[in-house]
Amino acid sequence: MCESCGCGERSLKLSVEKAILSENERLAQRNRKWFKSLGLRVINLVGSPGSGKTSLIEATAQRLSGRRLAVIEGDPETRRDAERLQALGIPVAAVTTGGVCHLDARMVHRAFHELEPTHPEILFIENVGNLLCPADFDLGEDLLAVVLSVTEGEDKPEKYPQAFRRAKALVITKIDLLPYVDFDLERVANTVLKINPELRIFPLSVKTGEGLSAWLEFLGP
Amino acid sequence: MHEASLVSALVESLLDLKAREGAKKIVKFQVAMGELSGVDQEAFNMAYEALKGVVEELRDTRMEIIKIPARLRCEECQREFSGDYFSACPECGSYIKTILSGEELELREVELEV
Ligand SMILES: Nc1nc2c(ncn2[C@@H]2O[C@H](COP(=O)(O)OP(=O)(O)OP(=O)(O)O)[C@@H](O)[C@H]2O)c(=O)[nH]1
Ligand SMILES: [Mg+2]
Ligand SMILES: [Zn+2]
Repeated sequence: MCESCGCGERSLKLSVEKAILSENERLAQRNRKWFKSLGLRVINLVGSPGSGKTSLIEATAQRLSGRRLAVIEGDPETRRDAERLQALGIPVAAVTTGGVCHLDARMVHRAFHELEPTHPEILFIENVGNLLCPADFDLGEDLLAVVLSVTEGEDKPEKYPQAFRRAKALVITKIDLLPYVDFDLERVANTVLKINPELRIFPLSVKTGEGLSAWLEFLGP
Repeated sequence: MHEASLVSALVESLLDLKAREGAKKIVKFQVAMGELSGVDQEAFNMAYEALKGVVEELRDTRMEIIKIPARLRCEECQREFSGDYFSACPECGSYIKTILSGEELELREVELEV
């Protein structure tokens, strides 16, 4: 701009066109390659606080005996969830995010270094309890799954469509409580399938065990 | 809210560029923000203002936000249309769609003083 005025300052216009999260995406691709080279299946669970993420991992682990599981726990403050899973003999790496509302690919990379020596076949990542932010951060997973409980209201997909768009599976938890809450499974299914027609939906309850076998089958042999 | 993380990733890119070009100042930059990106523009602005207060290099830097409208394409009949995540194809009614634009969150043009 100043070139003609003689003050010696020059301005430089750069056309950058770079996604703000491109660094995370690069690291996520690196994770994905690493996980693939180990033959590891990685499931990233996102959902509101209390939606049932830890309970789902517990129930899955108890029924997948014979498969080596490991878990990365993203917890903003405490290690309570990690302790719950360690009590079941599952190797856990806890990531305390220090108040950050999501896990990112770098945190997962570091955490998996701790778990690699246990040679897991399936890695569950319990993301920070939050339906909005985690879906933006690719971690290098094979499967992004949203965990939605029937107690948190059926308008979640309308409020947070991004997570449902990017997910491959939706686990609807606590269906044993359906008689007591206003949650119309069919209505919710209709809404999420508008956002993402290929989404696989698994209504289940870890209390009664209903629906768990379809979820386990989906996770594969 | 993850606007703070987004803004700090953005500022990191800006500072890298400034260093790479050996620039004296970051005069101005553009952020393309898709209407489906889920970013709250007000929270984004606030997070930027907060960082501006502590990052010396940003003191005189202007941020310009460009809103990008959503464009979708039906995977059944290839019709392009505008809408959102919940929209059906106006031609054939299918919900199977590709998002052509509207999800971006990008650093576009950066003006430096060298
Ligand atoms: N009735 C019923 N309760 C459930 C079910 N699954 C989980 N819960 C209960 O819901 C509460 C929260 O479950 P968690 O598994 O801790 O939820 P979370 O998503 O891990 O929570 P955060 O880690 O805090 O985000 C607990 O009291 C569980 O016992 C279910 O299928 N049925
Ligand atoms: Mg938990
Ligand atoms: Zn169509």
